[in-house]
Amino acid sequence: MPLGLKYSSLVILFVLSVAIPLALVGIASLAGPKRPTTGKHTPFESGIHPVGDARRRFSVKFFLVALLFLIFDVEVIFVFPWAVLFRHLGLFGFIEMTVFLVILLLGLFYVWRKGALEWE
Amino acid sequence: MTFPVVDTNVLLQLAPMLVLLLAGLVFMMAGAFTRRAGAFQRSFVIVFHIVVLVYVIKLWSVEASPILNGMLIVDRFSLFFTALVTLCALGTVLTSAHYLDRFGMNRGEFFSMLFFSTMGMVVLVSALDLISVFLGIELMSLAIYILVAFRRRDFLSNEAALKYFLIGAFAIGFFLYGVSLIYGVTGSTNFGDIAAAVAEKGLARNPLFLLAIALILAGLGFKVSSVPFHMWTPDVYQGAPTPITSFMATAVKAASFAAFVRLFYMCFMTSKDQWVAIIWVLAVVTMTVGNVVALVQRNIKRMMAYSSIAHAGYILIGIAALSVDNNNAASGIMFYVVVYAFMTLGAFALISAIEKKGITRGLEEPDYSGLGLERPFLGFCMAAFMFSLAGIPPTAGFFAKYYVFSAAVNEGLVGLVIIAVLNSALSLYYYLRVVVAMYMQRRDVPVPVDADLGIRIVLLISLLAVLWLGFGPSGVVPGVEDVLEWTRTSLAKVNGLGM
Amino acid sequence: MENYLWVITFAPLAGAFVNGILAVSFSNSQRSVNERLVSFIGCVAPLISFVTAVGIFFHLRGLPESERLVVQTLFPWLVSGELHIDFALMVDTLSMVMVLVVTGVGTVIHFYSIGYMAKDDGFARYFSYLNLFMFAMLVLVMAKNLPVLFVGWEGVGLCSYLLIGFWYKDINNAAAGKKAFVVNRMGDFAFLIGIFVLFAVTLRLGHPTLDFLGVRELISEHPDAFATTATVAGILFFIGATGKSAQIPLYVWLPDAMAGPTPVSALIHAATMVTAGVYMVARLSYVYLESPVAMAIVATVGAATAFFAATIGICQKDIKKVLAYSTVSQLGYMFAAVGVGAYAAGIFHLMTHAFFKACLFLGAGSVIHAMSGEQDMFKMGSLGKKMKITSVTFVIAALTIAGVPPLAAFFSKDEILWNVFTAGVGPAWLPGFLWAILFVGAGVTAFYMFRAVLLTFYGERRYTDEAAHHLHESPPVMTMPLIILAAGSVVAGFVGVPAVLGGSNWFHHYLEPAIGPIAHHAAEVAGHATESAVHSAGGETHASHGLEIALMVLSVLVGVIGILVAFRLYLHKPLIPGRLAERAKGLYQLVYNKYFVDEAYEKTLVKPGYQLSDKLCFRVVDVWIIDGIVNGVGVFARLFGSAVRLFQTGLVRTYALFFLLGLLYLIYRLVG
Repeated sequence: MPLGLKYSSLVILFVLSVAIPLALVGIASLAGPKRPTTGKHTPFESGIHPVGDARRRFSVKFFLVALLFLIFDVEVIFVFPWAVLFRHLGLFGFIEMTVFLVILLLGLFYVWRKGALEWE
Repeated sequence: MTFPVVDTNVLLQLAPMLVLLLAGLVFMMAGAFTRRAGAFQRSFVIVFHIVVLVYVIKLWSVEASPILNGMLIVDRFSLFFTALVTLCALGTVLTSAHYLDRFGMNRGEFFSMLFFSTMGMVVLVSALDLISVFLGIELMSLAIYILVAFRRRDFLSNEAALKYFLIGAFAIGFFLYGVSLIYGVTGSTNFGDIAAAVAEKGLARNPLFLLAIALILAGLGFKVSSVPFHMWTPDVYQGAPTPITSFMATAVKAASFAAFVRLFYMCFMTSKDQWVAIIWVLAVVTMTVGNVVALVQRNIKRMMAYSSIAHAGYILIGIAALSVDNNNAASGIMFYVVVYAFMTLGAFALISAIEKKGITRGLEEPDYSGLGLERPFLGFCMAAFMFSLAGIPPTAGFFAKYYVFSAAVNEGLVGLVIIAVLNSALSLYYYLRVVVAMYMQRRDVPVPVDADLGIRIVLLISLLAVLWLGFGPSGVVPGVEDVLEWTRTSLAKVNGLGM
Repeated sequence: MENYLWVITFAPLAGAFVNGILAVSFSNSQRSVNERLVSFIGCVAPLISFVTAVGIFFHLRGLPESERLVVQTLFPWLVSGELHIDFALMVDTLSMVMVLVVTGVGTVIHFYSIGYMAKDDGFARYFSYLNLFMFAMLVLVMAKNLPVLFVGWEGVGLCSYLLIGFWYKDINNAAAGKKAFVVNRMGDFAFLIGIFVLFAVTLRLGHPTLDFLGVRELISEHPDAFATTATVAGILFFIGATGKSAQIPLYVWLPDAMAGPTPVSALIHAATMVTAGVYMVARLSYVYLESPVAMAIVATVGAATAFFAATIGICQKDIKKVLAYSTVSQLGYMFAAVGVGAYAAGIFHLMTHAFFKACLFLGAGSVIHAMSGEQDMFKMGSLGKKMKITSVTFVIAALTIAGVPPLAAFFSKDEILWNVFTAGVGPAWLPGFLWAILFVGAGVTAFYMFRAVLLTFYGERRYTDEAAHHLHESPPVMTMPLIILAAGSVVAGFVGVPAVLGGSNWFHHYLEPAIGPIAHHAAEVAGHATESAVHSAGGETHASHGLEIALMVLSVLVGVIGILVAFRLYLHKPLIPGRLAERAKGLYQLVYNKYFVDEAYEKTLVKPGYQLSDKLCFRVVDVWIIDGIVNGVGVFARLFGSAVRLFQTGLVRTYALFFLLGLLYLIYRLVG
C-alpha cells in the first residue's frame, strides 16, 4: 500500500480536527451578535472574580510532588499490561516486574530518606 | 511469543550493564544513608569498575548476535567502547578524591550518577536500534545533567546544568523527530531492518529519509559538540565540576561517536554522496571555530572546551572518510578517541589538582606559572599532554591524527586534511601557552597543587599511554599496532552487518 | 653466536649510560667522582666488546669461506609503505676486521686514558663520551643496511664534536668542535642524498631495499639499471667520505680537531672514525665497481690528498698537527687503494695504520703529558734520554710509517702502490701518475716523521729548566698501551705478506667473501688489479713479479732517503732548515700556512655564507616574511576568535537559535 493511502485516515483525522473547531468559531463569530460588556471581557475563572497576577510563584515543593506523582503514575502504565497478561508471562514476567518494582522502590526509599515527602 | 525464563547467555552479555546498574543503586542507597563517601566506599567504586572490565575481557571472545529482540548487540565494537568509557569513569573517580572533599560534594550520589551515566553509555554503544540509542542517550544525559549541577551552591554549576538540560532537551527532540521519520519511511527502527529497507526500496535519495538524517545529525552533533550545535560546550565545561568536565569530554564524546559510527556505517552509507558534503562543512567549521576561539580564552577549562570542539572536528573528518570498502577511517576514529581520552583525562586531572575555592579559582594561565620548574613531574606530564593534544610527534596525538587524516586522504578528501593540518598548526599556539607559562614564567608564591595519589596515578598512566601509543612498539604493553588491531577486529562485524 | 652481536654494540652504550649518570650527578657537587669506579666501568665496557668480538671471530673461522656471515635483527625500525628497515647488525669478514680494530685499539686507548685524563674535572664525562663513541662506531661497522650505518655515521660525528670540544671552556676548542661538525654536515648531506638515490632505483626495480646484501644482489641481477646511478650515488657517498675521512676538499676540520684530548685524537681522529669513509667505500664496493668514473675520482682525490697533506706536514711545529696531516695523508693512501678496486689493500693499510698512528698519537700524548701541555716541537729536543719507553715506541712507529721492512706499513703501503701501478682505472696515464704522486708522498712522509722524531727526542735540549723539573716518563698505565701498539705495528703486517715475498696474503683471502667482486665483474675491473698481483701463477706473472720487487725496493729506498735527509737537516746540520726557509721564503710561507686553504674557505664560503644568512635570510626572509606571516596569522586568528566570541552570549536562546539555523542549513543542503 502506498504511504499516502496507508495513513490517509490519519490525514483525514488531522484535517477534520482542525476544520471543525475553526468552522464552529468562525460561524459563531460571523453569525452571532456582538455586544461586549466589562463582565464579558474578564477571563473565566469558574465564577470567581480574578484577583492579582496569574503568574505567581509556587513553592518548589509542589514541583517535587508533581514529579514524584508523575513517576509513580508512569509506573502504572507498565504494571497494567503486565497484570492483564500475568498468566501468559508466567514466572519470567513476575521476575522482571519484581526487579522493576524493586528499583522503583529503592527510588522511593531514597526520596523518603532525603525528606522529599515531608512538606515542612 | 515465548519468553525463556532466564537465558544465561543473554544475561552474561548484559553483565556490564547490570553491574553498572547494581552499582548505581548501591551508591544511591549509600548516599541516602551516609553523609560522606569515605575510602571504604571509594574502594568499592573502583571494584565495580574492575568487575565491568573483567566482564568485557570475558565477553571479548564470545560470539556476538543481536539480543533482546534486536535492541542491543554486545560485539567487539561495543565492548571496545564499554571498556573505554569504563576506564574514563575510573579515571574520573581517581581524579576526584580530594576535589570532591574540597568542594563539599563527596557523596554517594556522585558515584551513583556516574554509574548510571556509564550504563547509559554502554547501552548507547551497544545499541542496534534507534530506540535503544535514544534510551542510552537519555540515561547518559540525565545523569550528566545532575553531575554538572553537583556543586549545588555554585551559580556557574547550576547555570551550566540548566543550559545543558534545555539545549539537550531541544536537541533530543530533533533527534526523536528524525527517528520517527525513519520509522515512517522504512517501517522499522532496527538498524539492520533500516538498512534492508533502504536497499530494497531504494530510499537513498528519498527526501524524507534525508531529512531524517539531517535531524539525527543535529542531535548527534549536539552530543559530540560540533559547530553550530556546540554553543553550550564552553559554558557547561566551565561550570561543571572539573572531574565531570573530564568525563564529559572523554566518555560522552567517545560513546556518542561510537553510536555515530555504527549508525552511519550500518544505515546511512548508501546516502553517503548526499551527506559527505555537509560533514565536510561541519568538520571544517567545527575545528576552525574550536581552534580560533580557543586562542582568545584565558580560563583553562574554557580553553579545553574549545579544544574539545576542535578535536570533534578532527574526528568528523573520520566520519566523512567512512567507507564501505575498508575500515581505515572507522578504526582511525576509534584510535583517536582512545588517545584523546588519555590525554584529556591527564590534563583535567592536573587542572582539578590546581583548581581551588575562592575568587581566583586557579584556572587562569598565570596559575600555572613556574609549575614545570617547581613540580617537574606534574609539569612534564602537562607538557606531554599539551604536545599530544597539539599533535606533535612522537606523542600519541600525532598518530591519532595521522591515522584519521591518512584515511581521509585515501578517500580523496585532501582539501579537508590540508585545512585540518593548518588548524593543528594554529592549535599549537594556545596549547604551548600553557607550556610557556609552566616553564618560562616565574612567580613568587609557589603554585598550590593538591595532587593526591589518585591524580598522580591518572597522570602517570595517561603519560605512559600518551608516550607509549606514540612510539612504543607492540609487546608486553599494548602498543599502537595492538590498539589498531583491536579496532579492526572490532569493526569487522559492524561493517559486515552493514551493506 | 649471532645472538651475541648486540653485546658488542650495547656494552659500550651501557658504559656510556652509567658514566653519563655519574657525570651528571657529580657535575654540580663539590666532591669529585670516584675515578677508579669510572675507569673500571669505562674500560670494562669496550673490553667486553673486544672479547665478544674475538669469540665471533673464531666462530666465523669455523664456517666455510663463502658462509662467513652472522646477522642479528634487533627490532623492526622504520616501517612505512614499501620501506621496511630493521635495526639489524651484520658481521662478515670485512666488518670483523673493523670490529677487531675498533674494539682492540679502542680498549687499549681507554686504558691509556685513565692515566692521561687523571684528575680532570670531566673524568666521568670523558669516559661516557668515549664509550658512546665506541657504540656509534660499532653500529657503523656492524650495520646491515645503509640507514643503520648512517645512524652510526652521525653518532661518531656527534661524539667527535663532543670530544673535540671536551675542554669547552676555551673558546678555541669549542670553535674547533663546531668546525668539525659543520664541515662533516656538508659531507653527511651528500651521503644522505646518495642513500635516497640508491633507494629510488631499488624502488623502481620493484625491490625497495637499502640492505647491503639486498642491494648487492639487485646490482648483480640488473647491472644496467645501475649504470648512471652507481656513478651518482658513488660520488655522493664519496663526498660524505671526504667529510668524515678528511679528504680534499673537506679535510680542514681534522687538524683543528687536535684541540681534543690526545687519546681522543688517537682513537677517533687517527685509528677509527676517520677510517669510516674507507670502510664505507669498501662496504659498497659493488656500487663503485659499476662506475669506473666514481672509482677514478676516489683514487685521484685520495692520491692528491696523500701528497698534499704530506707536504703540509713538513713545516708544522706542533707535534699533534704533524700527526694530523700525516693522518690525512695516510687516509689518502687508503682511498687511492679502494679507488683502484684494491679493497683488501685499503683495509689492510687501515688496520696497520690504526696500530702505528695510534702509537704515534699516544706517544705524542705521553710527551705532552710530561711537558705539561707543551706541543711545540721546537721547545722540546733530547727528550729520549728522560723518556725511554715513549721514545723507543715512537721511533718504531715512525719507522713503520716510513715503510721500513719488515714492519707492518711496509707490506700494506707497498700493496697499495703496486695495486695503483697496475690498476685499470681512468685514462691510461692515470695509474702511473697516481703511483708517482704516492711514491713521492712516501718519501715526504718518511722525512716529516723523522723530522718530528729528531726534533722531539734527539738533538739539543730546547726546553726550559722549569719544564725539566716536571719532566718524567709516563706511568705504566700509559706506557703499556704504547708497547702493545708498537708491537702491533711490528707484527700486524705479517698477516698480509704478498705472494712475491713467499707469503700467502692470508688477509686478502680472508676478506674475499665480503668484498670479492660480483660474478659478472670477476674477469673485468677488479681482476685487473688484484688477481694478477696476488694469486695468479701464470707464466707472464713472473715478469710482473720482477717489476713488483723492483718497485718495492724503490719505495723502501725513497723512505730511507727521506729518513736520511731528516737526519742530515735536523740532527747534523740543524741550521740548514732555517736557511732554506729564508731562501725560499714564499714557498715556505705557503706551505707553513697550509696553502692558505682555511683562509680561502673563509673568504669564499664562510664569509659570503654568513653575509647571506645575516643580510638576506635573517633580516629579510626571517624577520619580514616568516615572522610577518606568523604574526599576521596570529593577529588575524585572534581577531577572528574575538569576533566569533561575540556570538557566545551566554544566553540559551541564542544557543538554540544557532542550533536551529545550523539545522536548517543541514536540511537545506541535504534535502533541498
